[in-house]
Amino acid sequence: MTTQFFNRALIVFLSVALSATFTLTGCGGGDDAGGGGDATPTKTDDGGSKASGGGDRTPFPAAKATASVSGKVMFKGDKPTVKKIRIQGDDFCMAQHPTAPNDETYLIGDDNTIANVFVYVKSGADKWEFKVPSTPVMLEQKGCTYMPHVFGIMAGQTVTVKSSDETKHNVHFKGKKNKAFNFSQVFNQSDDQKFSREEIMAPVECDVHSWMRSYANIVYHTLHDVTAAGGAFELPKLPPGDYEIAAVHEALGTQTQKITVADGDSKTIEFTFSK
Amino acid sequence: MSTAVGTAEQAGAAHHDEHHDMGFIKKYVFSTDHKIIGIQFLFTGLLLFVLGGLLALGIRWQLAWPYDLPMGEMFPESMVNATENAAGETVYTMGGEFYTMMMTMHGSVMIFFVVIPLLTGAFGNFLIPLQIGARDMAFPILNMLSYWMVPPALVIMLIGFFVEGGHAAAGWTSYPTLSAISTAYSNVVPTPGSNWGQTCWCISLFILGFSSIMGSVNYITTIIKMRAPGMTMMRMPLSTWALFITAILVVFGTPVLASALFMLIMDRTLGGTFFLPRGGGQPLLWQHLFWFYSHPAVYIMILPGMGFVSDILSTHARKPVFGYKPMVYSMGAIAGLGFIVWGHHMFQSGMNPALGMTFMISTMMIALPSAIKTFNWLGTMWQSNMRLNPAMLNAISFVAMFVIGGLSGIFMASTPVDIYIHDTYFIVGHIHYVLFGGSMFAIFAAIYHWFPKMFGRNMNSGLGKIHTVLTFVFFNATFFPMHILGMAGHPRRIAFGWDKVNETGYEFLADVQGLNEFMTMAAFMLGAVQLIFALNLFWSLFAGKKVGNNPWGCNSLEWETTSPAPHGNFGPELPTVYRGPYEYASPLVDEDYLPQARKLEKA
Amino acid sequence: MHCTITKMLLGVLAPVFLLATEGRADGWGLPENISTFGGEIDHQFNLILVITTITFIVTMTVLVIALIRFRHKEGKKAQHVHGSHKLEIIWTLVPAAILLFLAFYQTKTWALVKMDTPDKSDSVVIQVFAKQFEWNFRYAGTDGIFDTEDDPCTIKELYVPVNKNVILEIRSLDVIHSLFLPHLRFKQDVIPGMRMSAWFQATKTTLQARSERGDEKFNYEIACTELCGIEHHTMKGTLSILAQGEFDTWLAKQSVEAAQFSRPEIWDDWERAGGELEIEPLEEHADH
Repeated sequence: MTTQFFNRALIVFLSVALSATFTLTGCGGGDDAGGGGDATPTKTDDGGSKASGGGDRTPFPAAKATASVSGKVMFKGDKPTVKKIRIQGDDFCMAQHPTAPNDETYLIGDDNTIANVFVYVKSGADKWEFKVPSTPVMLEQKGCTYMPHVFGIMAGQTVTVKSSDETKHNVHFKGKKNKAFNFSQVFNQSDDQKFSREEIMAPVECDVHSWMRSYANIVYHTLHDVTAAGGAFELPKLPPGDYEIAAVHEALGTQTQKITVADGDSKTIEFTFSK
Repeated sequence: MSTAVGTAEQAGAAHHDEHHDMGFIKKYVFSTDHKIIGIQFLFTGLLLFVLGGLLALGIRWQLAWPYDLPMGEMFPESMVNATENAAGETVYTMGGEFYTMMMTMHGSVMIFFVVIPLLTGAFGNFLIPLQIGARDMAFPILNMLSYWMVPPALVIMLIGFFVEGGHAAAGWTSYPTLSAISTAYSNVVPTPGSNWGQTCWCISLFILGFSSIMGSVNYITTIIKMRAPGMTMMRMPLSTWALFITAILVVFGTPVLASALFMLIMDRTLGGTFFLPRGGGQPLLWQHLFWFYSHPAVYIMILPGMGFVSDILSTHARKPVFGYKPMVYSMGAIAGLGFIVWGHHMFQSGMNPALGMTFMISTMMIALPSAIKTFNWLGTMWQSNMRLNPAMLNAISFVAMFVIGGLSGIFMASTPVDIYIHDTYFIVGHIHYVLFGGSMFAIFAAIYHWFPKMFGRNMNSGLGKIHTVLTFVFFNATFFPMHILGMAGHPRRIAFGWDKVNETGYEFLADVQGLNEFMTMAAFMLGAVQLIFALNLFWSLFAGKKVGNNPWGCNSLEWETTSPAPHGNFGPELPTVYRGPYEYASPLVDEDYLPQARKLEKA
Repeated sequence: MHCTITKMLLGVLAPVFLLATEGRADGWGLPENISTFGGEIDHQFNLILVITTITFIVTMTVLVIALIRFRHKEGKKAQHVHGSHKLEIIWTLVPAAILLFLAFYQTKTWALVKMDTPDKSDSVVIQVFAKQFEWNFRYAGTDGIFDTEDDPCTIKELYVPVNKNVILEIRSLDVIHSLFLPHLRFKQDVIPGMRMSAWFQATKTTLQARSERGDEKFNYEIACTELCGIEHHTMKGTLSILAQGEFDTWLAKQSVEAAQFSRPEIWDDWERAGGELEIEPLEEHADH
């Protein structure tokens, strides 16, 4: 009888242990459930750029990249009125802005150039494998605003989020394809984060100061730029070939242009947005 | 009739087993002996009491001195905030992530892994068969299984600390939508624990629920079917009565929690929307389901304590329990009313205010049976002959603290007053008076009282008294000021009320921040005092004074057998019961006690 | 009178915790009440405090006397009684009567606060939108209609007129929050997906309070009392109670300025948040 009991006990224990193991693996496996691994960019479900297939990509021929593409982003039509931002509820932030600052959505110069437009190679570069840049992209919280307001980054590249404000900030990335993150920061604290999938204009917000907002633009390559004041951009050098260049503004939408460049070309293109 | 048959079979089985040498694993690890299972629960619970206590000290530190976390470098970088001060030294602060996680885990560990397992698991298992004169539980293997559901639950709960984002951080009540939004299905991270921590929390409690249900089914069956000859229901010690009623509460309540947890797991992992308004769900549904279990759970956590204290008071006061039947009926009333008062946790939730009124009336009425019990305990102590040993001191502390806990409950029961004190430190003070002042003092009392029966040795009385008195003092110093904080409006679960160095936080709480510091100092002392208990426990385990079968001069059946009781509990014959368990100071005999199993010759 | 009793009780307790406070006006105990119904709530609180304190003192006196008088003596036997029917009836009926009285006595105050919501026509309606971790407020502007260009929006700062009913329409964007105005004895949980409204009437302006307290920087505060995430403790704000004239001036000025400011994005979700959703699903799962 005892042996019988023992056997039964053993079976029961094993089943419990097994079920526990399953649940545990479920738990432990959580790391890659939310959005791919950290450093390896994958090219599975990014809609726009899977033309050349994922498996047989060759390293980016940096030596052949001699063509330069630059240009301007312009605005046509009635300029939207620039509104102000109400800074409230935080003594530090209010002290930083004695007068209400302008909303950063429309930074349109007197010469109708638009700043904070993200310009990148939308297609034509899928056949290459890019090296992840070792320098991190800086995202700073200063004077209760995010700097820069728009930034481009390669999947897998590090973004260093830093707070230079003597108040509490909360960094909340609300992408739809990349895994969201959310943490708080105090003065002089910095944290590193990475993105894994292509995503354009994904907001980074501060849950404590709702006017704070920055846009992350994650692509699988390094061929991107953001227009500064004056609306000018310059992409890194491209190898000869056909490309589709896209310019994206957070509120005005996307414009694309197809270009062909040859060795040593120096192309200038212009994007025009209107409301 | 069936009782007699059951016992005969049991006796046979016990005889049969005695012929085998059982081996270490079978005897102590995968044991089906209710006494061993009880002791397993006891040590698991006490071990986790250490974890829960350390978490509490972390919480207290943050509340008192939020501007400086000593030894911050020991913690993972993502959990603490590091800054440089003017002198160039790195100063660590805890930050909301860490604090919320600790606070959530303190509550979850203490309630689900310490108090409930200690009361129902440890003492329920150990006492029921001994007190009713049975050889073991009705279903010994189910009983073993109920213990062995705890380690997987525990492991999953502990794994939560190491998953990405950290452990669950939505409070021990885990209200959706904070707990239901998981990073797998949304583009926001409401708390860092929304990653896998919260899911681990749900799965762990889901498994633990099975442990409770299996244990309770066993208790109910055992008590109904396996009482010794002559042991009528109304001759059972109040501990057994309390455990019986508790088991009924668990059987009715836990499945509701399990279903709610399962719904939450579905919301988190399968894209369900039971609690998410996005898909037509309703966050209040969780509150109803959760409190439908968790309010009875409050009584699950106090009823066994009431039972133990009744036994211990009567034994060491050498006087029969005052009003045995009212004691039993009031426990029944608590259990019954316990199922219709859950709404008092939701007065401010946006639930229909008319419903709030009915819940207020039922909640006020549940104070009544508790009051009756208190008066009966006082009646038991009156005209008694009290031995003030550690068990008795803890039992008296229980009565005193339960009075405060019960009375402070009336404030929360009143709907208008609750508008102000809801979710403030007032409720935190109240629950700690009931759970620590109530349940933990009862557990200490029970350990001091039944230790000789468990291990055949007595605990050191001097150390026990020091431990009890100091615990009593520091307990009150830690938790009484919470009521004052609550009156000042200090919200619960905030990482700090007022940071006097950085001058941040709520200014209306600046006045009471000094109290927070005082409470933290007291809390650390309270923690330190428990070392005396740990020392006493382990020292007595191996070197305590050996005692006989009945060192306290007790009446109930567990003291009829040897200490520790053998496999099968009693000798070849089960004891026969002739009277109730509280015949102390009986005029029929010369001694001041008259055991249940002693047959008196007719005078 | 009840207030004095409270202070007396606390005075007795105070020396137990010998800790200096920083001498702000609220101190220990209930903070100053500045709402019309707050006095009733305080009255109920003090009533319960008196009843429970008396009960506590009586029971503890019995306990302590028993502890002193009935210590163990060798050879002595305790009284052999199993209870007393008469006593049981007394200590069942007396507490039952007190508790029932308490329960029914509270209903009036509860109904006043939660059920007798005043009419919108003679009240100021303010929309409150809670999100992690901010209180957003919106006023109807001078035209008295919501969702127009002149609606001032404020973050973490609530402006209300004194001596006038204020109706708050409360919603939450993401998780459960709870709006707590300690000095007004006001509290209401905010459940995402539910539309709620609650009211209060303040009886003292911030300026009055400042001069009474002699503290130029004093502000009534707003707190969140339902755990809403990691920055729960920073989800606070200030409550400015203005005289009716000042409030009107403030509102007129804000209404004019409102068009110059970009409306916080959260208000785009106000209508939606009443019934549906608080978060967007991840795209890769959108079709599940």
